[in-house]
Amino acid sequence: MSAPAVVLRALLVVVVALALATLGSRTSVLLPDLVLPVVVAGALLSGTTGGLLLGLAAGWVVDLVPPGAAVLGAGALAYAACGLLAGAGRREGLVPWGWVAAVGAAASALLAGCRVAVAVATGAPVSLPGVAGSFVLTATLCALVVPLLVRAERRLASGRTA
Amino acid sequence: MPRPALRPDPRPRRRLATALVLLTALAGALDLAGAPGPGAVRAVGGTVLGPLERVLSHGTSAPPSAAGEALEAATDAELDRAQGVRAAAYARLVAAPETRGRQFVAARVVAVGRVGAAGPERVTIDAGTRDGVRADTAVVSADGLVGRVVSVSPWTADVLLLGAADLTVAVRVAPSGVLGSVGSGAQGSRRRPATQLDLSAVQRGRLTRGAAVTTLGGLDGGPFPPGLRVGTVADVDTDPAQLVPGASVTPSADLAALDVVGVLVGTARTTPRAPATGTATGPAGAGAGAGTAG
Repeated sequence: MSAPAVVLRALLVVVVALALATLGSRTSVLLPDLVLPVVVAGALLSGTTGGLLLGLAAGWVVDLVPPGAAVLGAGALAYAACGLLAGAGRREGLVPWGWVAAVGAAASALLAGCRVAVAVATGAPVSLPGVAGSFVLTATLCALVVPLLVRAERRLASGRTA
Repeated sequence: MPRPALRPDPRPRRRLATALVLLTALAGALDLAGAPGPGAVRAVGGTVLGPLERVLSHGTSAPPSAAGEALEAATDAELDRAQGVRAAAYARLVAAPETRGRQFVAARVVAVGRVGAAGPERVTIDAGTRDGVRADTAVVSADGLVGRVVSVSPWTADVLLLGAADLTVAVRVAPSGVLGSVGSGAQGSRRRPATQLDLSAVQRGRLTRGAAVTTLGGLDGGPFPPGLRVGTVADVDTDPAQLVPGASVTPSADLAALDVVGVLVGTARTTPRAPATGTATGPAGAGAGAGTAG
């Protein structure tokens, strides 16, 4: 992973996490997870270990953006698991769009599962329609945004080496 | 210099990843156990990211409705007095029974946590230690109790909302005044609908539908002063097999649509309470009179 890519991802994660927390206080509309596409795109480019580290870092940012997570670190571990999963979906060469969408959907499902698990473990109420809606929105967002992020990062890398 | 074609050794990165995952798990366990370390980490996050949230929330405020536009058009003087919060909502808060005779700091909700799978459990407000907000103080809206401040940074504070798993409030239920406690609807002996709270009373047969639930008041100026509206009894459990008499409670504040809230910063009692003397006269008290004066 090149240094500009790391800085860019970090900036993107912080901005997106802040935007999500601020938007949540403005509207009661169900919102997709905006951080996951960044993690999935990074993991698809850098593999399992890179995906895990990226997910862990992004999850810490999400956990620390006020008001923070109910259990500090739970989000970090969930995003790390998603990064690991998406990193396992890394393929060399040109990847069809369907594969990227499938990896995004799998990561969204894992994130939703982790959310429900944390909620059950801490005794928080779980609304399954809300979780399902959030999963559908996040998977759709991943399918749309991840290819763009991957392309942008590839262009950044090739522009640097050229 | 072109990089060598060989891939770098993956082992150090894997070790780093494993160590970081373990550290994260440790932080989570410490947080669950209530150790002070994670609280400090949260405060650092609030100090660094809280001001950004304040800027984002106030700078890009698009009024969602005509009513919102009317509020935005309120006079500057009122907005200044309300520390930047919207004037009409502030006026409602000032007129609410929760703030009568009590000092409070007005604040706006600037961010909402996402972890609770059914509605928010934590919110961030734009007032912090510099505004006089301390941890373990009650947060109210114009409609009633909202929650308790759990962590504070200089410019923001995080509030645990009513209905969160970790928040239990001692209450008194009208009209009989029976005591009880209100907690998360997902935790009692019976599962409540997502928006409702769980009430456990100390005595059976004293709960009626529609009864008002207010706070009992904490020991030594604890977080919740007495008489704050918590909600109304929505449904009384009739299951005879239940050990604890229970009911579901609809919160009086709309916790999903919070905007302007007040943090009660009243001071604790400092003067001792003078002992009182009964004034009844008559034959009932056989041993009375020994300690009475006059």
